[in-house]
Amino acid sequence: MAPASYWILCALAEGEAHGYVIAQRIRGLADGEVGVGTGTLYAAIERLRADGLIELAAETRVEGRIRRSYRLTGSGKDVVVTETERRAAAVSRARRQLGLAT
Amino acid sequence: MTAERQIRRAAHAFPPRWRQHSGDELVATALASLAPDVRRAPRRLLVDIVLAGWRERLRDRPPFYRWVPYLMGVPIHPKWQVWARDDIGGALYPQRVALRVTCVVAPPYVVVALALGAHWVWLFPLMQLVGWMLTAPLYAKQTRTRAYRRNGISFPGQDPPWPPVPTFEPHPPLDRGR
Repeated sequence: MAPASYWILCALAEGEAHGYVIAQRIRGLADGEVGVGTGTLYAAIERLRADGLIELAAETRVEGRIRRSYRLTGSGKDVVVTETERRAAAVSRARRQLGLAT
Repeated sequence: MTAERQIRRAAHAFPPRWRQHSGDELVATALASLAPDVRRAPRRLLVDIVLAGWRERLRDRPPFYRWVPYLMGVPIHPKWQVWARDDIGGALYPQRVALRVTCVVAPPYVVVALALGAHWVWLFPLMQLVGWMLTAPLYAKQTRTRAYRRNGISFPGQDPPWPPVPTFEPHPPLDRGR
């Protein structure tokens, strides 16, 4: 899974959000290490929607522009949990390799 | 140029129907990410939008075995009609047609001409291309209408009228490994 898609799913695990909030949450989650640009963010959101991992939660109009909020679907939650466990397992293996495991 | 105009211009890298569906949203989010007193969009933001748009166009394009026959004038498979509609309605379509016809016609023409010893004849396709490029705007509407008809796509002015662009759906369904 592409890093941008993974972090979007993680951000939406906290609750439904629109694009700007998703970007802010990603910055917070990744402690500033990962930045998902606006273009990358929206391209990834469209793909995740097409894949059925996220869905439209609300559509409002703010200052004349459409603002869409998204939320995780059931399969989206499953995918992000599986991906997180896969990444955690990889980090755990790397720690063992480096002799850092406790 | 204001930051909003810069962002809108960068967003042209995305396919037209993608912009129609999510363009405003992208612009609003990009503007919200800027400090209130910023008058020009940061280059990094614009580059990200352009690259994401190009990636989206590449992803949206039909596979090679469908794309090449389409370029040669074979009607596109129905699955890719929405993409073809964007392509035909897109910028410089008549000029692109002129370029692709020249690319097909010119090589054998030049090879035969050179084999016959007429070394200056390679200039003909080049002159023809320049002529086509210059006159393309005059017959842009006819070129587009022909292409819409050939590919079975409804077009502006047709009865029933042109339907609105459908919600953006990338082709083919995207795998989760991306």
